[in-house]
Amino acid sequence: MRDFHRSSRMVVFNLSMLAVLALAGCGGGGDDSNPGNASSPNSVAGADQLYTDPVAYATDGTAALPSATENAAVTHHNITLGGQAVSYTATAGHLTASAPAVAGQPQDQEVSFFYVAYTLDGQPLGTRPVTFFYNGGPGSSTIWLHLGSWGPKTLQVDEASLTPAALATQPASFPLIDNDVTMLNDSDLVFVDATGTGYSEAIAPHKNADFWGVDADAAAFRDFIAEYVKVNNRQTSPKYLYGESYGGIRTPVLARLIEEAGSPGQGGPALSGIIMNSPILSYKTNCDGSADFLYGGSANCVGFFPSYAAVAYSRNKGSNPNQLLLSDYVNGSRQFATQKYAPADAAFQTWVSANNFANYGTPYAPPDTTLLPALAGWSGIGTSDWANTFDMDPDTFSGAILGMDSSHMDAYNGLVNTPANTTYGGSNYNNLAFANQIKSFLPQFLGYSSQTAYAVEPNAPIDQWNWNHGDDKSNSPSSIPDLLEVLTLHPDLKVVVFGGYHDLRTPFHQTELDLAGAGLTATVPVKIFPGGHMIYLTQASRAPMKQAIDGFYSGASTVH
Amino acid sequence: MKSLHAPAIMAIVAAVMCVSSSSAAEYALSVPDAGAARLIKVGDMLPKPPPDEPGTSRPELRGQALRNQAIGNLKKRFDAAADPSTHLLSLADAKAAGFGYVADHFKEIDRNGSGYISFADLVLYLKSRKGPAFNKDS
Repeated sequence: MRDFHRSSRMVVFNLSMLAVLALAGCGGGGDDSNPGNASSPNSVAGADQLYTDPVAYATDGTAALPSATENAAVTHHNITLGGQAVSYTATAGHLTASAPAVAGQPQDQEVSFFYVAYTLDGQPLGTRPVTFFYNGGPGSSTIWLHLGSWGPKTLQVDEASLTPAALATQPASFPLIDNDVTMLNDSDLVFVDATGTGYSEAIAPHKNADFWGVDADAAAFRDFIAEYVKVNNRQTSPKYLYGESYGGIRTPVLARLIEEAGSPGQGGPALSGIIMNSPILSYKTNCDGSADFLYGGSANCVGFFPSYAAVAYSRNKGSNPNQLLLSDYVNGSRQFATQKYAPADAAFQTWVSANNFANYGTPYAPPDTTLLPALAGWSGIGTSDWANTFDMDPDTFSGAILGMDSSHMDAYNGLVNTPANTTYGGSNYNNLAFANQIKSFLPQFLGYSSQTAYAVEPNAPIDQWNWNHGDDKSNSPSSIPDLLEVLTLHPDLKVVVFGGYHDLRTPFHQTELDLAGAGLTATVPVKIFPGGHMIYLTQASRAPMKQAIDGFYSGASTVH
Repeated sequence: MKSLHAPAIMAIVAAVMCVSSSSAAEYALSVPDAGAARLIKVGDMLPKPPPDEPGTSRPELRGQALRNQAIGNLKKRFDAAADPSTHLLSLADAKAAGFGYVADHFKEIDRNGSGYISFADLVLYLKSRKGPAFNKDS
């Protein structure tokens, strides 16, 4: 029996369950009996139901649960939203994702997904949105969005004020506070952990590795969402996706699958909007890896240039004689990148690859002698740095601007670095604190206890990931065709991209270039804020980003 | 030209796969040639895929080629659901194939009310909605 009480269909179909539900403290409001007027149950009747999960979860590729249940811990909380005291329900547990039904065949249970849902009580389901959140990796749990971004409780971090001294040792904790910019006023929030992360695991005869691939992963998420919608009677609710990082691949693929599958019932919308936070839309164009032309690919690093400029500006290393503000400085660098750096980098590519890369390692002297000083001026590093690495990758840039080994740079936020004598990588500065927090947050706030440790970011998924996508058998998937297709099926689908100025992993300008190449510049706005990959970890950007999110939810469609 | 890098890159991939997990960042060596080592961060969030297997690389498509790819993918899905000899799709076929989008809009797509739609019918319908695969100005 399911422990949570939102399934009005259960109440209608099986009156004897009412007694059981009442005993378990699950009682719902009278509205539950009519799906057409369904509203989420009021918390007054519900007591907290803690859950100690007896199942042991494993993250290796061959792991599989023998079977799965849909149990969850349910707790009730209060919060003040917009000056009003309201109540919400938190649900932490598992739902079974099953492959779409095939007539005459038994149900194919794929993955037992772990999720944490925050739902405002007493809301009319036909208008109350529900948003599904996931981080990326691939192979990351959704701990970062769950505890760092828009949930009702959040870890207090301000990357803009993290000095190297503060990171001499890896922080063990950050304060856990009430979130004054929680998205709970905009939408119900469901944070979902991908297969083999968190407490999500495949169900035999499937195994975890079966879902470690671009297409299989997205299909499993589609099937989780279908189950969540069915069990919680959200067919008529506006549904949104919020994906981060590798979520830029997952989201368009998942959105296409959801739109192709059509209305989940009662004429409700399949999907209303998608938000992509610091996405990678294509591995073919991001130069930070084997896709760069120096390694046999076709990408170049021009897309990183405005991010270098932003980092230089905010580290007070850029040349800024006109004292431009950050956004104007970055606009100038973008224009320079388009008009000067891009053609020069193309010429460099021809020069360096000639005669079997005979010129590799030789400093490059571009014909335009103003170019090296201009590159240096915008980016805050030296002309010799640019001559030596004219197609400037983020790792080389990081080392140059820090003046120490690039491992000290937080590649997710070029303003954050560890001091010279530390041994842990700058990009990992927040791992320990988040991992520590989830250990107590799950049982203490959410009532969910497990004998297994929550898998924050296991290595197995990325090591075994199948990067193929449809007919594309390369290891460089792109979700651009999926984005084009989903917008063709549903032209009014709301789409927005949020980027951080100082992100050196998924640079915002590369996303701009990818969208421009697809003719989607007018359709998909890219909104940039001070901050890194996890924009929301920069304190000053939280309220402006939340304002943009509020506008996104309340708007009828993205401005075209 | 590209074969110059392949053996080094294969060694890199092997090295990446063997790196054990730890809380510190993980590194793999990327060596375009023997002399110039460049460290690339892997592990943790957004690790990078291995290089493409020889012969599998595909460019990022743009413009009409991209639109054609999106339409081609849609056609494949349509054909998979449709009758294999007539290439026509009924409402029941659409539902059975999980192509709920077509089922939801069947009446609008089936303009002559025959109970069957062709891919051309679907294309006409999508064109009328002016989505980006059919609208160069989007």
